[in-house]
Amino acid sequence: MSCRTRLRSLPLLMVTLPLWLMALPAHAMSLETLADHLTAQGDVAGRFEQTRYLADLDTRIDGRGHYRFEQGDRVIWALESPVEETMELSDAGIQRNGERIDDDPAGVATLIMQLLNGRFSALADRFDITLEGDEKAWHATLVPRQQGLANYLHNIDMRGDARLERINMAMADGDRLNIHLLPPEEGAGTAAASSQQAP
Amino acid sequence: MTRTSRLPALLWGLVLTACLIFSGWQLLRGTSLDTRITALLPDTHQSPGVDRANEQLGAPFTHRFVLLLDAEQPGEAAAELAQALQRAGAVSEVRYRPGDYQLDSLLEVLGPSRYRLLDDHLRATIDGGDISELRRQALASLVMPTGIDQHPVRDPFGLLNRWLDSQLSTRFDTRGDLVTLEVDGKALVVMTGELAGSAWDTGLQDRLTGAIAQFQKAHPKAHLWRSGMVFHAADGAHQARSEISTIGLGSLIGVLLILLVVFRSPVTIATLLLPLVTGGVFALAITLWWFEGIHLLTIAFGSSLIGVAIDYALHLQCARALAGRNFRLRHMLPGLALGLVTSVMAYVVQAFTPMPGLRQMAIFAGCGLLGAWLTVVLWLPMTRVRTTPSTRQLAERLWRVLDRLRGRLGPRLALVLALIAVAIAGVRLQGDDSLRLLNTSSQQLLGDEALIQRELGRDTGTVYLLITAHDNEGFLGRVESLDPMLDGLVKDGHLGGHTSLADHVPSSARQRANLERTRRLYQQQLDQMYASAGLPPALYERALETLTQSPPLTLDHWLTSPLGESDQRLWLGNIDKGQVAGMVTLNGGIDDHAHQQLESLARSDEHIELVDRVEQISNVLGKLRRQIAQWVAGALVVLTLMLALRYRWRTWRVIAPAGGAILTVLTLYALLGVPLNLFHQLALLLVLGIGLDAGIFMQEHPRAHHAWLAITLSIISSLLAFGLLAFSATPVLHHIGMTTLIGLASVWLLTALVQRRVPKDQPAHHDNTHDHG
Repeated sequence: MSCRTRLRSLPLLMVTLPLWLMALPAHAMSLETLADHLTAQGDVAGRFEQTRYLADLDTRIDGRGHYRFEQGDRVIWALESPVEETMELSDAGIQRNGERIDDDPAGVATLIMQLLNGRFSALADRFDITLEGDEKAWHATLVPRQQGLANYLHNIDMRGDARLERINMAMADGDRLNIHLLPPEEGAGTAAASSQQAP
Repeated sequence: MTRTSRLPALLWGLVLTACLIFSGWQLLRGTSLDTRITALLPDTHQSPGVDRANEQLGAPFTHRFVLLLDAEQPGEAAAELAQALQRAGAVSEVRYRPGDYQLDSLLEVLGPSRYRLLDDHLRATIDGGDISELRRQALASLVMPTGIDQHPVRDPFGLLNRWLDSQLSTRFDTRGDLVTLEVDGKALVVMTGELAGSAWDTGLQDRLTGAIAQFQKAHPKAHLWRSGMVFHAADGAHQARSEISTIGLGSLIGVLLILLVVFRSPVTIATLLLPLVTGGVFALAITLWWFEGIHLLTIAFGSSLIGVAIDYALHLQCARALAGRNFRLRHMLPGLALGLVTSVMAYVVQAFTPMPGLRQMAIFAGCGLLGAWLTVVLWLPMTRVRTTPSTRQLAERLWRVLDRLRGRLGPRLALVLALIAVAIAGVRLQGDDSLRLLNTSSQQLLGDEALIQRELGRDTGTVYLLITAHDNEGFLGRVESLDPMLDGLVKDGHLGGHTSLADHVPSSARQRANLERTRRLYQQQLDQMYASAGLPPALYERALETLTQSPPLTLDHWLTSPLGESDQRLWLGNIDKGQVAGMVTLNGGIDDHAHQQLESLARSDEHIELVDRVEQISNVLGKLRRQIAQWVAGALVVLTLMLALRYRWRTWRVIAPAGGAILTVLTLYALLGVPLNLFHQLALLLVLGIGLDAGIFMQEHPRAHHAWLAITLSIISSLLAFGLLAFSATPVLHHIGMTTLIGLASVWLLTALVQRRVPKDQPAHHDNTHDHG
């Protein structure tokens, strides 16, 4: 039991963190106001680019794809390159390429949903969150509270202006995962629209 | 009193003082009060492997507990509960947050061997050859790692993560930094605790249950489910303690009231109670010395038994109260001595049973009786007894009742009735040897326990396979060969599940084969994968190199690592004859089909033994029940012969009250469909002892009003003690109470019915000199 609880939190967090962080509005400089604005957010969709930097090999792996976040219902994170893989989170659990991942408890997806709906208190349980700057250029740092998570994850660094733009995760072993959320194009309200607009 | 009789009295006083000092010292020193119901159970003399296996498998259930918590604000409630438990000093460790579980060694222990650890599904996928999905997932997680240490060289296919996924229970979850379990759509906080001491330490039980009760008071809306031996032990101890105080106190008050009515003298009553106190002190000291502790049930059961000891004091004091100055002790001695010998014999039969708990009760009861008897014979004649007219009046009134009843049951009718009773009991009486008899837990707790064991797949180690082999590899191989059959039983719903070390440490043969599979996977897929991810092809050689350097995961390494710590209970290691042994625990429902399959498996292979402790204990209870019946029947025959030496043809009148009462109970149970259990039989031993006393005294003093008065008083006081036991919620005590209630009432009635008709106007006080008619 014990391994699972801790292990699961990490991969899931890494998959889903960018998704719910996107919903951070720029002018929300306290967790409470952030929460309020999160609940007021509509659907967001766009493209992303990401880079995994491997410290020991001094090499990088690039990927890109599109995301879509339906407020309160569903999160879709679709990798297009180097391989196609779609992760989908909803109340029903986690699906990978349309197939339910059996060993993933549905409860986690519910937690993510609650976060997306602005229940920030649960997130603050797991991280120390520091907010800096103002609405034009803000910067948030999340440091794991617990040693278990901290053994793998050093911190999460987020920047944005009117919207969330970058998420940088620094792993404890020196590896990095940088995600760049490209600006949503006008009218890109749905996943279908955004993927059609993709080059 | 002469000088010669003063010396033994003085010596007895010294012995008692020593006993008092010894008991006081032992109790102050903190001699533990044992509340384990299983202490009543026999040491089943089996192979040392089974004994150790039983102990090891039961240990987590004994030393740890699990709480499930449902609360509106689970985080705060769980933290408060954990704090309360720690403040109470009842636990050495509480875990309820993911971070409470120490897993930092995960990568260290399993990382190097991960290429040899493939679960069934992955093995089948690689062997099947369709690995495109595997490659796709691997590639995706190279870009965005979704597990620990998913590294292009170290673990491009995420083997470690897959292994862990296959290993760990999927039921647990984390919410808001809490470990949770979903039950009926609710996320319940899972809290596990390690006890700071023994589960049977009543002080620890009180601190633990006190802390939980306080928490529940502060959070009336929160719901808690409990699992663990400590809660069952606390339930049992709590019940036994409250029943001892109510039943013990109730019977004491009742007895005192009756004695006050009869003797109207506080001093006389004090002399009647003195043997109980001295008997108790003597019994306690001997039991503490012999067993180095005392079981709570021994005190409950034994203190009622000592109520029988009041017999001797009653006979003596009744005789003295009615005879006044004409009283002579030597006329009383044969009856008193026979009474003691027969009662002690009836109880000491229990000492021959292999149940340590019953042995303790037998010793306690035997010593109690002896102590009370010595006090009666040595001390009581030195006291003064007030003769009151009211005592005499009462004795005469009772005598008239006896006169009305006596002679109504002749030897022929008695024989016919006895034969009918034997026939009914022989045909209809059922036995019940189930373990439920020993249960003292509340329904609520049993419900909690069932839910938690079902949801957590927690087993208490009661049913398992004991597997032996020449070495570790042989053991793991043997267990692996059993897996398909066990999995089949699980799949068809005959078995809940099974756990063994082979789940976590594959045999080295299997690990070798797995490593070959991994190598094949790398050779077929890795080049292409690196190219897709834009990684340099030179990494390929490095990845293959890690395979050649991968050490096998050994049983010893796993067991000594923090991860394998909880698996230690499944491993016995070296047992005698150069063999190693370990267990496969079976949990959930095991139906008859599974049981038969496993039994035939165990029969066909000398290295496999099926151990079912519940069944074993039931068998032992049944065996014991039959053994005791034979012992008592034998003892009765011997006693009858012994008594025949003194009473000749009157012997049937001595035996009839006890024998008839036992037959009455058995016939009644047969007709009512109450299955006879071991504890009914133990109670019948008491009926036997008291019945023999009554029979003997009525024959020793056939015309003595004091004998009938004493018998009546003794039976009423014992009925008070045992009648209250019948209302006990502890099944054991209830069965004992019910049986003695019926049995003792029968003894009284039968004692009167079988007496010979005598001329009506015999003066009462003549009996002391002429009562051997």
